[in-house]
Amino acid sequence: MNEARRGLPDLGIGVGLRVPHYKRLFAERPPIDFVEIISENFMAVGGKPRHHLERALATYRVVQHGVSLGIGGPEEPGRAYLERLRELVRQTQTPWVSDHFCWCGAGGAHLHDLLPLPFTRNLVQTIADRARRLEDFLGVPFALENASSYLTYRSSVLAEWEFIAEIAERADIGILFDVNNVFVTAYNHGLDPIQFVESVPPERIVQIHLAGHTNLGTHIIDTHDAHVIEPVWDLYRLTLERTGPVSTLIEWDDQIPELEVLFAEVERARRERDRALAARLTGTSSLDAPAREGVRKAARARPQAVAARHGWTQGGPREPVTSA
Amino acid sequence: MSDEAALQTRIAAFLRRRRDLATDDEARRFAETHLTGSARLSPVEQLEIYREQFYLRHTASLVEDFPGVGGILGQADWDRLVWDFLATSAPTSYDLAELGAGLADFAGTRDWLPERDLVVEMARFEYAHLEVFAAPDSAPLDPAKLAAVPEDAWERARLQPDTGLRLLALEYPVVELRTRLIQARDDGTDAPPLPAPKRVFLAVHRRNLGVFHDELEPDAFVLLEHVARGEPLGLACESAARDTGVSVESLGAKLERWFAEWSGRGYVVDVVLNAT
Ligand SMILES: [Fe+2]
Repeated sequence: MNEARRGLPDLGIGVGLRVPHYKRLFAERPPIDFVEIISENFMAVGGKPRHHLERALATYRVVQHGVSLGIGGPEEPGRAYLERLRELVRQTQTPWVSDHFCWCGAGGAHLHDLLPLPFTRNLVQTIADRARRLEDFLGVPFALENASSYLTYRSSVLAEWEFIAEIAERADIGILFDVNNVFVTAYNHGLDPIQFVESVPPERIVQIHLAGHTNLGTHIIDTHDAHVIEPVWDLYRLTLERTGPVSTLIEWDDQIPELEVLFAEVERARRERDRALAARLTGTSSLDAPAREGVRKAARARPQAVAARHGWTQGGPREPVTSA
Repeated sequence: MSDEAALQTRIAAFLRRRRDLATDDEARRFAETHLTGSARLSPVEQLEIYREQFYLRHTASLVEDFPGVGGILGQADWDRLVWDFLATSAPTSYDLAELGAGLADFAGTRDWLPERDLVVEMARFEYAHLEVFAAPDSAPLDPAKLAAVPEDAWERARLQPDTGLRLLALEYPVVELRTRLIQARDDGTDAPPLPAPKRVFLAVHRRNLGVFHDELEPDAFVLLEHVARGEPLGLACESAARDTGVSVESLGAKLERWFAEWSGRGYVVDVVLNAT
């Protein structure tokens, strides 16, 4: 199967649906190619979450993305969670559903984090088996996203890109390729971000994520609280030159700006995308050798300014529980 | 258990430790054995990033969900309570809104906690908000169905409570206190003085997408509790009379008014006949 995007549609450039924007989105209904929802934010069956989901579905094309599956964890994903996820998939009619290459807890504890996996052959097999079964169960194409990571294991025997590619091939699933996570991980572990991008099978990439991050000097935390940085735009174009058009999403989960700022980021993505696709048509690249070296250097650099540390949560703030 | 699962299980335990892992010899040895470190960070510093994130993420969630508890305790005691809570009882649900499900009970077991009874009640009250906020929606009680109930069937009828209803009998006036604590927090002013005990009977209920807290008359509350447990109306009246000392006749006389209030507010969403 070598069909681009596994035959899934290119939806254009979308944004994550986040609570601070509800009011204006549902009142003004500005045009957006698609919105991505965090599945877990809408798994509750009633009240405001359900109300807002219905409004989103009535207004926009909705794609579902999860953060709690923990497909590489010690235990199988819970049955109740999966059943609720499937109900939501049916309700949203999402064209595909995704989660992360990660684990989320052990022994019944749920740590609400995308914890990194040791890249072992054993886990390739486990995750591929689970992913295949999950796709059958959910009844829609399934994709997994490369997560940002802050640690690496001695027991890893594969490079991250090998691990991802092998699981995707073996399970015959899609890849949600987070280009910012490539940069974050490359910075944190001294990897070559260009090699990462060039080693992932392009026809498996069904969606791309773009986001900003927080550089603490010693490491980058994937906070989704800022503009996409220049080297990540470069990696984005490099990815699209390999894949062709792919649905792209801007994630902004903390310090969430006004819609205008978010939409400006969407337009920037559109320009970068057009540039990459034009280069692809002519069989060239928008990144020459010095530009590639520039991206590599950025991933090795230690910045002067160091941001303050803070916690963050995938998918932005939860809907506030307002009392009357 | 696979090697990977064993590794993950140990890491999950380290991430819930209260102390900076860089100062923890066992964690340092574990990290050096299993993690690589990077050019900028040692293995244990890598592990510590995740531990710190675990606490930042979950304490932020609890701060948002329990402003009243936080307001009563102030920063130092609040931190001690929630850090103990997180280290002792692991989150088990994917849903962060369920994180504080056990906080009231946990607080009740902390001997050192100032204002413990008030804190426990505030935690119960605040968690009730979270429970009803996204509870399943119910259709309102159908007036036609109500009109069709034969007069003599009421005694054996059961009233179905709304899933978005929680009944709380509390010893402190938490509603007003919570409002004032949140106000003081938002204004940056001193926390208000803590109130003396005062019995309150509350219905925490979601309607029109908002969460309401209605104060109920004591005998109405007790009756509604029995009704919500699924007792047929006649039996519920007898139970309430026994609990309150108020006569069945007196309760019966007020029932029509209460029922109108309960159905009007949506506490009761259906009448089930043929109850045996
Ligand atoms: Fe992402």
